[in-house]
Amino acid sequence: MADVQLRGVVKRFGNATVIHGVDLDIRDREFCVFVGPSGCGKSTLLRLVAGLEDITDGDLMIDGRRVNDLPPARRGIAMVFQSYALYPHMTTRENMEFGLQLAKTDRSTIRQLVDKAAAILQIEPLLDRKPRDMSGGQRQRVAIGRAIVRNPKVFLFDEPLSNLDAKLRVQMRLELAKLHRDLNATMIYVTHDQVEAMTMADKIVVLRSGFVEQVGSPLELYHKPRNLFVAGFIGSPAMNFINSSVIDIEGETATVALLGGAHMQVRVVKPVKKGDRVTLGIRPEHLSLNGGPGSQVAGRVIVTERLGGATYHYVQCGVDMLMVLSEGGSPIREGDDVTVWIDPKMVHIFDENEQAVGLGTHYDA
Amino acid sequence: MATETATYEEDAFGLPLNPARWLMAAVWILVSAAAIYLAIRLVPEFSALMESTTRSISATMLGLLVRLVLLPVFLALIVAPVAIAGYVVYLTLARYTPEAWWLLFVLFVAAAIAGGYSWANGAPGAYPLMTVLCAIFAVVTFPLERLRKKLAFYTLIVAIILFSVFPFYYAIITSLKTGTGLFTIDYWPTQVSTENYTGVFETGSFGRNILNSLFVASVVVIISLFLAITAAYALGRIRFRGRTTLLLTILSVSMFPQVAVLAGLFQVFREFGLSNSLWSLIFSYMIFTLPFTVWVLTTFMRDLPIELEEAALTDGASSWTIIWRVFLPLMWPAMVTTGLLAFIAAWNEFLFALTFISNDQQRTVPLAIAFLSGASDQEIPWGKIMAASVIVTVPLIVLVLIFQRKIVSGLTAGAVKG
Repeated sequence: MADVQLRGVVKRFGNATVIHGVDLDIRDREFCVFVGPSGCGKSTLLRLVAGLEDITDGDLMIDGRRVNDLPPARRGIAMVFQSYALYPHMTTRENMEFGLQLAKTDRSTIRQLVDKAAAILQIEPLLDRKPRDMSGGQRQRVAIGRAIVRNPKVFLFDEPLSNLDAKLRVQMRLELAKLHRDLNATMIYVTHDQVEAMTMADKIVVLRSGFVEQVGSPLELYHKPRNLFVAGFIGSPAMNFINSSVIDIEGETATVALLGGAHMQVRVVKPVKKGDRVTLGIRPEHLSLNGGPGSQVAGRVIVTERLGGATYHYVQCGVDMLMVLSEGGSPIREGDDVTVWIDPKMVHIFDENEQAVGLGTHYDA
Repeated sequence: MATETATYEEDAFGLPLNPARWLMAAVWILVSAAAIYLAIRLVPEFSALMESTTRSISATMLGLLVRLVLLPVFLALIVAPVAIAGYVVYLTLARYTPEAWWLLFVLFVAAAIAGGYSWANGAPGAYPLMTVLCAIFAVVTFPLERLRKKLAFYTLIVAIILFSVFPFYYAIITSLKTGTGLFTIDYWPTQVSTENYTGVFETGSFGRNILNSLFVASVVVIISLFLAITAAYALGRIRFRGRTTLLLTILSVSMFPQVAVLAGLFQVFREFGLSNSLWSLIFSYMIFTLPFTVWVLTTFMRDLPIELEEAALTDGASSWTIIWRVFLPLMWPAMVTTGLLAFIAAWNEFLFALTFISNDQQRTVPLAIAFLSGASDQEIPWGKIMAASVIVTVPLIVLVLIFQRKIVSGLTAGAVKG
């Protein structure tokens, strides 16, 4: 199908710049997810690709062709809206036929395409129903069907699952992933939910206030977040952060302070000076309460959340609260005094500018 | 609160409701009822007396008249409302509601009947009103919550229906009467004659006039809606400089009184040879139909979900297609409502038609009714006028009945979200 390239794409509304020069390559057949907190510009970026907003500066190429000035219908894209945006006065079939009719496709081809898409999405029984007689999940399928019949080069999804309930969302997530495999199409997907991003994406683009913070595969972002924001945003439950400072530096090995006078040796790949303030980041799943390698910090369990398969302990260590992921049957209770083991190999280090300077030893540079 | 029936030990001020206060209330009620009785009995006699004595009246007679007739009448007229108002206030303060209201209602009705009250008297018009008010209060304060709410609701509905339908009903009754029967006051059809209806069509060119009105109003509606819906898309959906100014300008057109543009328009139509033509009416009626059709449709269009338009855009729809194939089907309720209002406005318009049309053949219905004449200059043909009014009202009612199914809200349900 098609690859999508953004070259220094800028979007301004009046004086407000909402997209600051985004460069991005989305390869053919890739499932690319734009993720970020609300107001980060992810939807705007998608709308720029769709052609629903004008690009202020920069180039947008689809399939090697500059499409900045093409109307949405001629860019070879199809969009699925958050609110589905089905035409309420048309039946499912008419909804799906509308675009093809406008493109002057002949009747038998239209019928064929609609029937095929309906079969893929298993919405044949809904073909003669109007949107108001359908549930949210069914409307969602029809909206996807309307996109499929147009046989686009690129599918655009604008938070398509956010109006569904939790259970249906998981199910549709699975189906979208399947659909992506079956259709072999390039897909761009916008969400604020990092779980959706992690589970479906080939490539995640993390955005914040109109800047691309990091681009990479889900595991790349998980293991090698480039800055504090990405580290905090990707991963569930979220990463723990500890304020610290560099006590000593020797080559690539820095000694950083921990609470209660403890310290820890970590590897840094970018230069830091003695006395620099740094932030240590460590994921709850890399902390341990029952021994293990690494440094130790004493604390007290404040809250325990038991999910059955896993247990989250919130441990107060001085001024910092650390969340520790334990096994489901963890015997530790609220109020217990515990020792937290921190594995230096799993620790991320960020400098004062929130940029990653060291990423433990599991980081292969 | 709903189940608080029967007796209250104390009033709103926390004072005991002792016999003295009950006596006070009883006096209030009796005085009110007596005042109504007096007023009803005295007012017609007073007017009859006035009529017979105005021709030759002496000063002493006048003094006697004032003392014997005027004073009691005015006393009754003043005392009654004051007494009633006082009692109402007392009841409200004492929170002693339903039974008292019913009692008052019955007393008022009894007083009115005993006094030989007839609606035709007109003068003590406040008393039926008070009676109705008492009835409404009695219903509203009825202790059983659900029954009370239902009763209140239906009382209100009946009141509204009476208020809006009665004039029309009376017109129908009158249109069925002939001769001196026209001048008696009846609430039920006493005679049924179609003479007025046939008479209307026999004189002048009433049939032709109806067709004129139909043509003018329909064309006005069609052109107004077409212009308004295209304008609404631009004004509601496209951002451009001066949009608000434009909208306000359109609105301000409707602020000019008709007479302000009358002379100018007359000149214009004469220049273009349009005077005495129905097109002059069509053109001028749009002065008042367009502003509100544009405004209503713009507001409605602006509220349609933007995603629908964007979906249509990605489907490859042009602005024209978006308007006619996506928005139009969703705007039926608004279009029917505004279209109907425009139709009624054009159908009823009088001043422009009077000015621009001088030919009987080109007249519209309101003019035709105004120009209906009786056998002599002194005779106003009430029967025919009523018959003609009924005839011209029927198309409007039919239109509303046809389109009322279309006037449903929630047609956009299912467009977005759940």
